[in-house]
Amino acid sequence: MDPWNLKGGQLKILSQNEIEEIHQRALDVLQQVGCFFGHQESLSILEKHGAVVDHSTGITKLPRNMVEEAIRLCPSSMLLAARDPKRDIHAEGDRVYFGPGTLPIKVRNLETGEIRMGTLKDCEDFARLIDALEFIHFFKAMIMPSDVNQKVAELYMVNAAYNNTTKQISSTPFSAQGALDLYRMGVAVAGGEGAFKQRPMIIINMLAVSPLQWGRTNLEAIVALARVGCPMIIGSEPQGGTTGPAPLAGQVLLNVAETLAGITLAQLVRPSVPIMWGNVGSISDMRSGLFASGAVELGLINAAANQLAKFYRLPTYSTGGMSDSKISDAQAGVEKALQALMVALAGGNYIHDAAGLMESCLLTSYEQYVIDNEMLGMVSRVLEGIRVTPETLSFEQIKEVGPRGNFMGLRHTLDHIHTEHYLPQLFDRNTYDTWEARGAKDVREVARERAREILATHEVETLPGEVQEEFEAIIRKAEETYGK
Amino acid sequence: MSEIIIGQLRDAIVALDGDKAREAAQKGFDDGLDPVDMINQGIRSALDLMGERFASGNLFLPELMLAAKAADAAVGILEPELLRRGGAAEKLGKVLMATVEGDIHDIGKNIVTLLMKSAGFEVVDIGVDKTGEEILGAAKVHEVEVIGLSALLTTTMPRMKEMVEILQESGVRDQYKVIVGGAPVTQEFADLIGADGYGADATRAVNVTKRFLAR
Repeated sequence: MDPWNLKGGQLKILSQNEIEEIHQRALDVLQQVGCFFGHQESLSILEKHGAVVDHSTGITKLPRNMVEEAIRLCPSSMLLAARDPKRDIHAEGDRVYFGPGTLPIKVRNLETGEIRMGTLKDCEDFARLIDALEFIHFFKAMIMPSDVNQKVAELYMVNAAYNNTTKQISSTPFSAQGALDLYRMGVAVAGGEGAFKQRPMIIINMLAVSPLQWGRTNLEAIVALARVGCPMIIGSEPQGGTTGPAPLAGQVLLNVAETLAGITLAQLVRPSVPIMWGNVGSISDMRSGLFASGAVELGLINAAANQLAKFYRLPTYSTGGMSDSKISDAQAGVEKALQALMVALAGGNYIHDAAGLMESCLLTSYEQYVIDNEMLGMVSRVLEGIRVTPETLSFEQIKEVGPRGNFMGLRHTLDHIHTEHYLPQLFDRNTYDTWEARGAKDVREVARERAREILATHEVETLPGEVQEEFEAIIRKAEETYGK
Repeated sequence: MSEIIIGQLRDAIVALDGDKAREAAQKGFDDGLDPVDMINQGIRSALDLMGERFASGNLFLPELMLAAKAADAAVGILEPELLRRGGAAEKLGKVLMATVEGDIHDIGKNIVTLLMKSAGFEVVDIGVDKTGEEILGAAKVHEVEVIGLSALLTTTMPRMKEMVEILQESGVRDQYKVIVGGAPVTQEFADLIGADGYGADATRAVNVTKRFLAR
């Protein structure tokens, strides 16, 4: 199996007619209800191009043709370059890549098992851990460091990331200035703005706040990043029942309207700027109002949103592989696997939160990443499906072995094991006696051992000195501007 | 007779029926029942029951909101008479709620506000993206005793610390109890920034407030 050549798209939740219906109703929402834009410059840009702006409320109605033109301008494929070109992401069509969970604040200590706040050292260790995990393709900040300047924490995280993994990097900005600083870090790694155009070394994500509002910080970031041509993720995260309608169809509709509103602005600023379609919505548990991150509905919503994005021919950014459990238990396994499988089968190009996250995105652990890597390996095997060729149909071998024989001794069997069978590295398939004789280890314990082994032995080449100096200058300048 | 009407009022709110709640309140008003009794024994006890069910996970959020709406409908009938008599329904205390600067998420704050109101507090909700100065200004104007701060984003949590500092610098720290909450906020964080209380969830935010305002 080649983890860098995965393809989804087998799962269709919505029919073509339903997709068209959602598209038309989304255009109605934008034209009749409108969307709130909390940023004066964005309002001016939209108004200049024909949007109907109510300056007293910030609510802006977008004509259908304006939105449809913006969709047409979006490139349908996106190269996201990694330090190691073999690890580049080609977000397009039904290609599938997985990434880690984003910005929890707490981590389970690998040695003691206690829960504590994340640190910069965790950022470095998590980056190095996923560098070694073969079914995690890109980096997104996996823990919030509590021990750095919180105003520019994303710059510290991305610094830690580039120095500890050669996989592709993406980040959430903490301010509009932070978004531009992240872009500058990407430019520094690429070796200049011209080189960045050829090999964009970072993607930055901005989300609307449901229902139908784009806040000032994210709009400032979208406008600034569109001007420099930096790849962006634009999307939204409605929670069914609280910030979105309870029915999943209405929630997908809301995501489409909110995302299109953001995309329209970006394309007005700079036509053809590369954008990834973002949907990370789920439902709220209506007994508490809390975000249900492990909900099976999240899988359905994200699968459907992927169909919409493909209808628009845009690369997609999804969520799939989360859990609300507090420990790496059966609940975590079931919730994560169902979501990841659904979204991968729907052909999510850039599926984040596919590993590591627990407790509504607030908690993470090293062992959970190792366990989820195994789960993603199994999902990857599913994506490969069943190849039907004369060779794989094995008619000749069935004839050769005949009734009452076996296939163990065939060269044909040996030749196909590695491509046809996923071999677990973590999950135990031994007999009870063997398992017991080998220490009767829980998968969590095996995962902790593997995590410790990776952290003790896996090395990643750090950035060249001159890039590191540029990083330090960017962070120093940001801290001078923002203060501590 | 009064017990029957108060019972109807309570049942209407529990059944989420605003029209029936309004009717019962009107009937009580027409029959000359004491509005304070109707509020305390009818409306208050219905909302307490709903609050208990919510806290134990046996009620959906929309049921809580619709019960509060039904209660508001009944209060609307009783309020003019209450004011005319110069009395007021007993309030447990006054609370200000705000989402801090840079954060426009308001669901968590709204749920806490709803539960606080249902529990009998007077709540002044000044909305989202509020600076420390705006929050302090509103706290003074409305003469609140408790300030509830909400943040969903890890990036806006530092504004809570700044709020406590603003209260200290203005020399009014001891006049307010500060309660913090929101998904990324922890007891550890609340202690670190010198907040008085921490609401791990909406029910616990209400319980902490009750403790502060116990009279």
